[in-house]
Amino acid sequence: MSERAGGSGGLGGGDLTCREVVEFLSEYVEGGLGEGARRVFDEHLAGCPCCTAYLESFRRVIALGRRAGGGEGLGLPPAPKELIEAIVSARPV
Amino acid sequence: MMRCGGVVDPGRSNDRAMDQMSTKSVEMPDDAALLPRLLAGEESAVRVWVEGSTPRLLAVARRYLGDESEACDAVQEAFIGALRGLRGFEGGSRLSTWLHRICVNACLMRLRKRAARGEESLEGLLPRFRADGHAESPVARWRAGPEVDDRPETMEVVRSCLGRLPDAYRVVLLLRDVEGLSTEETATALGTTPNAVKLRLHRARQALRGLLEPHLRGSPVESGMDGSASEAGGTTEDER
Repeated sequence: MSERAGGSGGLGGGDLTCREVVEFLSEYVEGGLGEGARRVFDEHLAGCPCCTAYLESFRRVIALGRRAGGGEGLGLPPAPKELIEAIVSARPV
Repeated sequence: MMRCGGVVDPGRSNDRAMDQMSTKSVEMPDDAALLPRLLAGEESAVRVWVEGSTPRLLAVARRYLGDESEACDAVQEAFIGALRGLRGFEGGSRLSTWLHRICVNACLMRLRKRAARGEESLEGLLPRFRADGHAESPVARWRAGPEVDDRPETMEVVRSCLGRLPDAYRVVLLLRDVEGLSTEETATALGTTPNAVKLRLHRARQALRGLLEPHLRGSPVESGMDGSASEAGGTTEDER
């Protein structure tokens, strides 16, 4: 874990480094940080355009992954006929 | 190494992933009409169900497995399992959602067999920091949101990048962010710990971001990140 002013392990003990922000970003966006840690996180973000940009892109990644992974905009060609026949013929009776 | 020790509860009523699918290639009767015919073993009903559901299931299996032949096998296994277990379907979710879960479980079983062959490293896809504490690559703001994100070609790029994630990370991202399982449910499905799920999910998102960066980056932010020097990725699973 990187050094940080006034910190002694765990979030919320002092200023954060950018690396720590990146490391805990999922917990931040999911609301998993405690109040104190979140405040320190917010303070860092308020003064760090790089982490703010990273956070914005990180939120978009989650949303895009959810949409694309869920099949949004995906054309569904008909399934191979052989597969359909294989399933139908293999059905338990 | 990833172990898929459990299964996703097929009765769990979360229809979000199903709702995101864009098209149906075959119109199917609703569950109330179809289920009794399936239970009666009516071949025409099975055919309608299979023809109507397979394109969508195949798309799901491709995303989990990334291999056409394995995806076809997983879909076939899912149908056989579903038809055998049809009497146990309790109606707590739509039939399509129940079948979707069974298909995901068939994919997880196959991924478990793959995991025994060894897990790929994610290291090359994670953000890296230089010895002076700055990010190795400058951070850039991404091009403006909705008008870029809503393009079909963007969705295709994201799908392609998802497919490039190693299995153990892609599956966690799909279960958590797409299927909507909780951390604990995902851990149970994969036979691992909640902390490992959290770390894999975070790394999967970071890696996906890294893969998408060349496609979506816009203007660079002026000052660099001040993060301390480190190897890529920072904390290991054992450290958390």
